[in-house]
Amino acid sequence: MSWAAHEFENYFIQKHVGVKASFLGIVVGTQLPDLFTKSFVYAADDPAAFHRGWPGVGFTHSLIFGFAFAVLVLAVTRSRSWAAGILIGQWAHVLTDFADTAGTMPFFPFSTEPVTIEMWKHAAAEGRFGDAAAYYSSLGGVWDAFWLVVLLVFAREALRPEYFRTTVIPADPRVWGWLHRRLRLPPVALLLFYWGFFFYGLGRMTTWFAYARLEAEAPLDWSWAGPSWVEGNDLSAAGLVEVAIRSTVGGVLFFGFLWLCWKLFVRRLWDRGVDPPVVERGTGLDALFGTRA
Amino acid sequence: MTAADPIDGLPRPAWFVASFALYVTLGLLFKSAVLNWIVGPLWLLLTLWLVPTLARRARDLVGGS
Repeated sequence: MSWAAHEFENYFIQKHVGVKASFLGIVVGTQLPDLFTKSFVYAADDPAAFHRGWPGVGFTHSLIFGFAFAVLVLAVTRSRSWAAGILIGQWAHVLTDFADTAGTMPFFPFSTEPVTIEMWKHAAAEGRFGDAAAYYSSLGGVWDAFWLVVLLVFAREALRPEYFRTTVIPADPRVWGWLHRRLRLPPVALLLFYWGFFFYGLGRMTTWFAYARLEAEAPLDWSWAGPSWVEGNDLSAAGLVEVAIRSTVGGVLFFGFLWLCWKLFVRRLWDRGVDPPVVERGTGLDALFGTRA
Repeated sequence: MTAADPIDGLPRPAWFVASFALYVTLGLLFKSAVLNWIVGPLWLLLTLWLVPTLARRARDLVGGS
């Protein structure tokens, strides 16, 4: 699993969707796969299989879960920017988490084959603290640092107060306005709340890294699929070709299913959905990405 | 809150550094209570806005009485 990367992703995505998706929707989306499951993962008999596999709650780390949740939000709230934010955020989480040894099942239920590049070990079997020590002793910690650099190099504008004022708020004026009026939060408090997810990513990365070095005294192991002192926990014995074939078939079926859903009812929900006044959507990917209003 | 509203009253950078150092220190001491999805994202809001606001109000109350 990735740790602080999920917090940094929020701002990177925000920079690339501009006013077309709600930042808070993106946050909900990126946290969604772990939101209802993480606290149970450490108590499971086989945490990796429970967290990412099937049977288990691995479906929360599939693309269809984000799609279903986004459609549900669109149907209930009619908010296109929230639906778009949740979809993109959840998909980003799924694609980020396939870097550990447990991988994710992106095309569940059409393929239950985990997809992974096995960069570092999924170490939830070590308990929360052991997981943190293993993650920040392996390439997982480097992955977090990579996302921090990506954010600061390619999307630092998203952290500026002016960006928050001119893009983040207009993309979701109802919710930010509600926080402002109902909770009596002045603009500076809203900005601090907006920055809070970046702060949390930086804070947890620093703290857990310090814990791994100073308290757990875990040895650094930046080898591929490290750290070596954690037992391996691959969920599948399938070879590369088998994974590729199953995932390709699953992917084709999955996107066919999305197309069918779009034709049958999602398009209708999207058409009756509403946008904030500043948003002008094009078609295709332009409906979701692009900083212009 | 609209795009036209200015953002006044941002704390100085040193306060952000202090807030971060406090978070890391308390995080090492009280991991479960501090390093979680509720306290973490709200930390800046709590330490740089809520606590100073409450402190100012308390000071005004004491000063006014």
